[in-house]
Amino acid sequence: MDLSEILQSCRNGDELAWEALVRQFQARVYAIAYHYVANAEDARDLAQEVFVRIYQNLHLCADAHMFTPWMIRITRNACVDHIRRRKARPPAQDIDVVEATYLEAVGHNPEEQWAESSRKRMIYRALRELTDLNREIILLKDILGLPLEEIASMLKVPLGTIKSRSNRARLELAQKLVVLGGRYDSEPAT
Amino acid sequence: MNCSGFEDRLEKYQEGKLTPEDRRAVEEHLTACAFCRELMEIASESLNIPAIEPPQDLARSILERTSGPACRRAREHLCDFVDGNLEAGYGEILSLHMAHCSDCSALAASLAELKETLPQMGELEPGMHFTFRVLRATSRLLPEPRLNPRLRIQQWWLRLIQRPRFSWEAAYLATILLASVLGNPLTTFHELALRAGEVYQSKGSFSWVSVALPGSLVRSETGAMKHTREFAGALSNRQQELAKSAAVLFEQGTQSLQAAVRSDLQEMRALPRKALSALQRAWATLFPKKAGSRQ
Repeated sequence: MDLSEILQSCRNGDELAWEALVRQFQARVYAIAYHYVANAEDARDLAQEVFVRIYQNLHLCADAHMFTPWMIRITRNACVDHIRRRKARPPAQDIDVVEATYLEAVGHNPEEQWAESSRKRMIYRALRELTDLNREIILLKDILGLPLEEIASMLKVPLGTIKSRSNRARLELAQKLVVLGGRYDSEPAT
Repeated sequence: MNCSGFEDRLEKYQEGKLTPEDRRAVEEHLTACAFCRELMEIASESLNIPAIEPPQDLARSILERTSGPACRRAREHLCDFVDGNLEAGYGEILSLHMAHCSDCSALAASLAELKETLPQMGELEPGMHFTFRVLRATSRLLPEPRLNPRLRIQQWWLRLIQRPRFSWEAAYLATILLASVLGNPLTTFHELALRAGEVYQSKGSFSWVSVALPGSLVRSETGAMKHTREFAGALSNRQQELAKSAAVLFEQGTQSLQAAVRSDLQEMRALPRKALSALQRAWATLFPKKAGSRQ
């Protein structure tokens, strides 16, 4: 059963098709949310909220080819709203971003499957050191594989800016990774 | 052949690539010209000079004194190089640069690693209970099946009366209705017990109608019927008959209640029979012709 058939069944109220759709895309939605909010619990709540929104608005996505960009757009909007709310009402105790990232990165969080690999953990730390726009471009282009036009529309930034920023952001990430790698290699093994 | 022609053909002559005619002409010129013989000897020696490895920083020194380091230019093209979007010739000279620049080669290796690893970071399992939580959250939002209005009202009513607190709500509504019909409960029910006692003493029994209706009607049990008749006087004949029947049924009902209050079992046993006879009387009153035709 391909995606367009699953979507049509979902629109007709088929719970089995809806479960299949959730299982097919939950890992992606959760990963996007985690990239944005950097917190496993918040990311899970957001991913759930995203699926509820998708469920309520399935009739708006007529074309199966547009489902993934549409889903990513909904996820991004939910995450941006969440971050805005969090900025408006900061947590009682502030934690430094780098420290928080480090804690998350080295913590024994069972959900962070890709963080089990030290190299991926390092990439994640390097990503957190980028500017918001550069990190978002890497997330949307290199991690999720969206076309540049879609990214420009989503971020409301000119296409030329995205094009020029895209390689620069990746190069910046690679540089940070080289520096982190050097620091990591120079640390004595414990 | 003159000296100029010899110089033009010297390189090919040394490589053995001349035509037989040119080769013969060159050799004839060599036997005749001492200057060109010396020139050929020098050229032959230079070909045999062994290659010497230049100093490691020679290229860097030259670049520093000329164009400057090429790293900046190289990094502009590193992403395209890693993605395979760089034209082959330019890729070769970039590779040549990276072979001598550890920083740029480390960056290229890092970019290649990112190209392979980043797409793997697009998915992250949210845990075993996540799907269940989403399905539970969305199952409450399942679209209602489209039914015709009659069925929808029927289903709504069935859902309504099946709720455990329906009887409480019905009792509450009935109380509100009763209170609004009988007037202010504080004043109306203030004398209720006394009035019930008076009615019971005067008649040996009482009717709830006599107790509950206003003071002008408490003197006798037939007061309610009299009041109904007076009220119905202004109505049409059919409505009058209906009102009379309602009054009869109401009286019978109150007598049954009265029996229940007194716990009179015999009276209660007779209750269905009395109610039936009252209903028959009401029917005869309401539809006299039909009732007559049946008899």
